[in-house]
Amino acid sequence: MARVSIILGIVFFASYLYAGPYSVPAGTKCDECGMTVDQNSKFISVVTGKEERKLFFCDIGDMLYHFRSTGDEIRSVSVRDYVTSEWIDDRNAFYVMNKAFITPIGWGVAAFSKESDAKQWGSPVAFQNAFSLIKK
Amino acid sequence: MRNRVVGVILFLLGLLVTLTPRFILPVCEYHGFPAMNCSHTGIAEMFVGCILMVSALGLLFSTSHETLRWATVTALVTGVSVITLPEAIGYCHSSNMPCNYGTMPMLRLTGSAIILVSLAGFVLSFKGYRKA
Repeated sequence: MARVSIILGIVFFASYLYAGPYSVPAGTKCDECGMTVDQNSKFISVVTGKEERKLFFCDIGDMLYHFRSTGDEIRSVSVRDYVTSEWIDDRNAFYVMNKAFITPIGWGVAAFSKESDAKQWGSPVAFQNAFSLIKK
Repeated sequence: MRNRVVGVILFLLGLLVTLTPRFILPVCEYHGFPAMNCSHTGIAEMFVGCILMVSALGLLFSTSHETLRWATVTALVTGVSVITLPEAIGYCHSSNMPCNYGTMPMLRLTGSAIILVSLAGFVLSFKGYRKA
C-alpha cells in the first residue's frame, strides 16, 4: 500500500511539473505582482522561460513589463484570445492596448487571434512590438 | 532642545510612513484589489515606520548628543529602507494602480525627508558639544 501511495505521489508530482502550458494550477501567484492568477481571466499569460521554467502572469501587461525589465529569455508565450478565450500562441497573437479593457493590474492590454477583431479595439501590434505598449 | 526638535520631526515622519500604506494613500489591497506584493510592501513599511517612531521617542526623552547621533543613524537606515523596500519586495508597475501613483511616491518622498532630517541631526550631534 505504501509503495502504491509513493508511486501515485510521484506520478501526480510529475504530472504537475510537466503539465501543459495551458494549465494554470489553482492558487498560482503572478510572477510579477504576486496576485493570485485567475484561471478564467482573458488576460492571463503563461510563459516558458529558460530551462523550461513556467511563469504565470495575471495580466499581459505584467508579462510584458517583467520581460522588458529583466531581459530574460522567452521560449514560448501563451495568451488568451479576448474574443473567444481560447489559448493562442504569441506568434499568432495581435496585441492591443485600450483603456476599455479592465485588466487585473490595469495595463489595459489584450490579445487577439484575428487581426480584424484586434483592429476594432485599436492598433494591433505583434509580440515583438508589444513591449512598447506599456509605460511605467 | 535639538534632540527634541529632531525627535518630533522624525516621529511625525515615522507616523506618516506607518499610516500611509493603510490610511493616507492605501496600497491596492485597500482599494478592492486582491493581496499582492504591494500589500506585503505596505506591511513592511508600517513595521519600519514603527521602528522609526520608537527611535524618535528615545530622542524626546534624552538630551545626550550620543543618543542623537545613534538615533539619527537608526533613522538614516530606516529612511533608506523606506525607499528601497518597494523595489526589494515589489509593487504594481502599472501607472493605473493606486500603489503606483499614490503610496510609492509618497513613501519615496517621506523616505527622502527622513534621510535629510537624520543627516542634519547627525551633523548637529557633533556641533556645540565639547569633549570631556
